[in-house]
Amino acid sequence: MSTAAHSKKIFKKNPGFVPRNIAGELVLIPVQKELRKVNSIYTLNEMGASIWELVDGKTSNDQIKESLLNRYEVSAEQLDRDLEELTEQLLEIQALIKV
Amino acid sequence: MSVVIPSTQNQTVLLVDDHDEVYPHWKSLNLKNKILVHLDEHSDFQWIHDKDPLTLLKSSTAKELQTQLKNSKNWSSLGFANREMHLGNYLCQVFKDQIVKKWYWVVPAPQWQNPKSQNLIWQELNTHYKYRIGPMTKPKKTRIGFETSIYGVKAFVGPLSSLPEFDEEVILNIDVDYLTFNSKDWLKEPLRFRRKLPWIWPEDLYSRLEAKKIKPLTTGIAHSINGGYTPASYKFFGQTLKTLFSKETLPRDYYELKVAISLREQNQTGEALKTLEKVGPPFEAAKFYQKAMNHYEEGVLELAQKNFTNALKRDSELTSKHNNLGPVYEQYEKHEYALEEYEMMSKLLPEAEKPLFGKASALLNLGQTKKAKELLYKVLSINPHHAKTFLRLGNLHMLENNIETALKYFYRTLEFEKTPEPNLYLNIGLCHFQQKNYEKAKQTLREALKHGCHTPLVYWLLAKAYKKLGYSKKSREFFMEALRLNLLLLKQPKGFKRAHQALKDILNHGK
Repeated sequence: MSTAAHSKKIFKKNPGFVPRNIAGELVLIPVQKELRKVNSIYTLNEMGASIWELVDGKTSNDQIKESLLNRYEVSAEQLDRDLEELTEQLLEIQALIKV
Repeated sequence: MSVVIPSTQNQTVLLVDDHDEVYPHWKSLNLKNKILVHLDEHSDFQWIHDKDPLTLLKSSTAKELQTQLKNSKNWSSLGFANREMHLGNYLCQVFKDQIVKKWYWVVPAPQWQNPKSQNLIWQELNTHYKYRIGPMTKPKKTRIGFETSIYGVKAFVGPLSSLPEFDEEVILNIDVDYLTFNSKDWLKEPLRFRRKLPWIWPEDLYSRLEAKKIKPLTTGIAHSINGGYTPASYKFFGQTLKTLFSKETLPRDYYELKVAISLREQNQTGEALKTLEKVGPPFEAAKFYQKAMNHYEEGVLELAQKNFTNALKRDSELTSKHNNLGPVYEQYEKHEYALEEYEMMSKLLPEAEKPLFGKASALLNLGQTKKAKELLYKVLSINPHHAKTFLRLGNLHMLENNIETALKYFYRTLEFEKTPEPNLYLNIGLCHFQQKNYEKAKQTLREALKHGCHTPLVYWLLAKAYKKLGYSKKSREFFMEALRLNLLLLKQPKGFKRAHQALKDILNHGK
């Protein structure tokens, strides 16, 4: 469920995760953790990759949404849900940090 | 290296660094069904697997996999095949061999008295029970401690006060870290931590064990310096305990050393230095180590360096990885304090590579990559074959997306590292992926597998590489492995495009 509070939130990337294009897919590689201990594969689809690109510690979720609405054919409600879900997941794996 | 001393009363006293070195000695004594009194901050008990969990991957149907999992509870959750004996699990082998019938794990009193630390011990027992590989009964709390049974060995955990009196000779097993137990609170103040006194001194421990009328059949004493569990400044406790359990009188030098350490703790470095002058053999290494620390804290660097060099001449083990508290701070992610420790060590040993490398690692953890890089190059100017420095530089360049340079350093690591970490091959594989060199990526990722790096990521990358190289069948096989591992190690954020989702896509496409 999207909330007004969520849309004002600003996140920054955890430098411990680097995005790498692996054969056409964007994979988040946790560099601070020994790779051989990494048990999950974090891949982002096109929309996820665009969100990852836009997160910079200054731009709010609202601004990210606006930018994406111009780029993709997606309803504002759908985008709200996707954005919230993805940021929650990225927070859970600590790839994003709340500012 | 171990030293066996037959004591005057025929019992043997074994002084070792890593605790598992006592195992062959116990075997050589042909011990069976004895009582083991184990004084240690750590249990030294982890399961040793009899079976290789990778056999799970050979199951061809979901039903077969489920049956395997049922029969071999939680292999995956414990990590992969842990079949080698080491200082963390040798007691499992001791239990399997029926060397002991009862195990008393005596934990430091401050560890037991602290509810959080006590709870960690309780959790450890319950984790062993939950993920049991061998027979174990459900742990229970009693008035004085915890109880369970492992491989038929009755196990008790508690402080020294909970030990009963024994009417037979016992195997006594002491880790020096029992005396120097550190709670996390000490990490808050670096200088205080560096000066921290033991919670119990060796002669007091000896007296308490005597009061319990413990008669050792054999006594094993572990310094635990190499593992980093005992601070190097207290390495001499091993020698002290050996003297006591060999029924010899402690020399006056020991007590002078003890006074000096206590004076330093009270910030009386001048008095401490005067007292240290009275200390002679066999505690000279400890004396010079203490002198170096006192001079350093007084800001007299030249004398600190001179004394530290003298300490190392008498005991080169003090230069081991853990000759300072840096690794301890790193373990608890206190990188600023770790940096301070390495800084001290690099001032004491300006030409040594280890403290410089430690400093570089701490700086990397603090995100100061530019400074870290400079130090890493300095390490290479001292030792041009320092494999771990090449590895760090490779990682740094990989992070900065300088793939060509990263690869150069990774291959240099391979040149000088006798036993390369499996993740090195994974990193090389990732770099080759970036360069779209799928053949080389495939080769190095297969090396990663050969070296035991069995993670979903490796299988997933291999699947991708094979797909790019046009081997669809092979690609599907590796996706399948990635899927199975992901199921076993399941810790996936929901909603991501996961490996098994990717597999489903591929399988569907194949239909």
